Amino acid sequence: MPSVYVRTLSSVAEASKTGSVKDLKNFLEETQGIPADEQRISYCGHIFEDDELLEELEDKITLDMTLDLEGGGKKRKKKTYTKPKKIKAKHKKVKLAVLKYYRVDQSGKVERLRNECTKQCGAGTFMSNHFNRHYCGKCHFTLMLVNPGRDPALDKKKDAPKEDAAAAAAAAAPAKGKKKK
Amino acid sequence: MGTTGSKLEKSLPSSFPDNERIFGLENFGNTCYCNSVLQALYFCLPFREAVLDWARACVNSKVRNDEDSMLVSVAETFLHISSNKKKFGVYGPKKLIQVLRKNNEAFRGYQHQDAHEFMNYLLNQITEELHMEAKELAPHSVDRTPEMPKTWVQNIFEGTLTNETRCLNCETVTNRDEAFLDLSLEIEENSSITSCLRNFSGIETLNKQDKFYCEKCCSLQEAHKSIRVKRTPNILALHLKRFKYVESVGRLKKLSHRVVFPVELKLNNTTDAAADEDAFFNLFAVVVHVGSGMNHGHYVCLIKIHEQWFHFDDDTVEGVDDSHLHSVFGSAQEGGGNYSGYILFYQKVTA
Repeated sequence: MPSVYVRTLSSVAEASKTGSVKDLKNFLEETQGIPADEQRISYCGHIFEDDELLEELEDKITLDMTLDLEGGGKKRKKKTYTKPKKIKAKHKKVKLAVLKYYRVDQSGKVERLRNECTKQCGAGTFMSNHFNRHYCGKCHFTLMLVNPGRDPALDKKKDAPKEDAAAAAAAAAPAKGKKKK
Repeated sequence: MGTTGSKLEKSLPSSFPDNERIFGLENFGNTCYCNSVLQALYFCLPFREAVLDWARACVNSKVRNDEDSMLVSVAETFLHISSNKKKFGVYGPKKLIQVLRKNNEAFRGYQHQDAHEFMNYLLNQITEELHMEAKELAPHSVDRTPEMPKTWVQNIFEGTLTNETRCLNCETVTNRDEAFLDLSLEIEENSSITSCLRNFSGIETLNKQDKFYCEKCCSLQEAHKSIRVKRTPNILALHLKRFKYVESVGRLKKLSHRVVFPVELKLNNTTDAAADEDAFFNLFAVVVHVGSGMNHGHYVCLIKIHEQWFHFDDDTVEGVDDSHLHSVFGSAQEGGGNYSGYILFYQKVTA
């Protein structure tokens, strides 16, 4: 009868050369106790799939059976940080912030107090004023001031009368909307 | 990793060649089984040379540039390391892992895996890809040849075993040859590789219901059977079966047995007719399993590069003393670090 040999963990087992590799594994489970799912059957480096048929093998061939000794990762060492954590800026809501962007003088002429984004957004997109930089909130472009100090625009708006600013916003808001479209 | 580099540099002997690169490999989620085998193969010089030669030929001829090819991704990894400007560093074999996970279901997901299974798969896959390439290059040559020509993978790793069966009635010896890419050895507590090999080739008596059908006697006869190495491979990979099935609890168990292995191995189980009977083998790499269980653990690799041993642990590489080898023999006691040599790589030296 055609047969195959399997070098298992302790001996060489002989099995009939019929059925699939899965059948062989089941046979070895019955005779040796080792669960079929855990077995790995190979020959000359080739690992057999469960559905491969034994009849395609040479008669009296000796196969190898091994198990898996699994390994993967090591425990990660906890990272030690040397610098203290950066405190993220919390957004402060400023009511009617748009009022601060425009000033309207006595003759009704609108003056824009912020720089327009110079990178790509262009007209209609203002950059915010910070103590040392202008920043575009739309494209994240930052323009550093050459000599940081109080920006004149920041000072000016303090003097601007309140009613004027409100009027400016009323006048400018539709204008802005138009531009965007 | 800059500090690791300079520390490594200091530990190098002055004779260390300038063109050798030592790179750690990043772990992409439980992929150290892969890293340790890749390192061993990278420092398996015949294999590395063959891969790099193949890669060079490929660049010149542009035969194929298969996205899913394991060989291409191995070649890329090796090229990246060997042609690096820096002597030390860390490389992330991300693409290789992606291709591996795409090609083989078994390695998908982030489970722990067996290093030997990975090595088998890798070498087989490369062989298959080389066969496919040979077919593409010569589509009109005799189709469907039963025996594919040997590739360089076979030339490096393949050896031949012979099954000798001696009929106890008529003394006729029947031989059967079988090829192997590595030898999986059963182990015993407090033993040595030499005794494992002896057991591997031990004489087994076929009797009672296991009788042997002798062609000459034309009947079932008692017989002696043994397996010996007929042709030794260039690179001898020994895989230790470090596991057993404990029937009483119905569970598999890792064997942390102490199995010593020599740096210089002489095979004692070759056939008398073996061509290079006097060949001996030099140990150059050991894939080590760390951990007490079968289903989890860590893999590291010890590799000898130009007479200096290094300990490769994913992205960290350290120079170690020769005596470090002794710590991976395994240990008779439970616990005790559980560093156990799992796959040994020997290179043949012909006198």
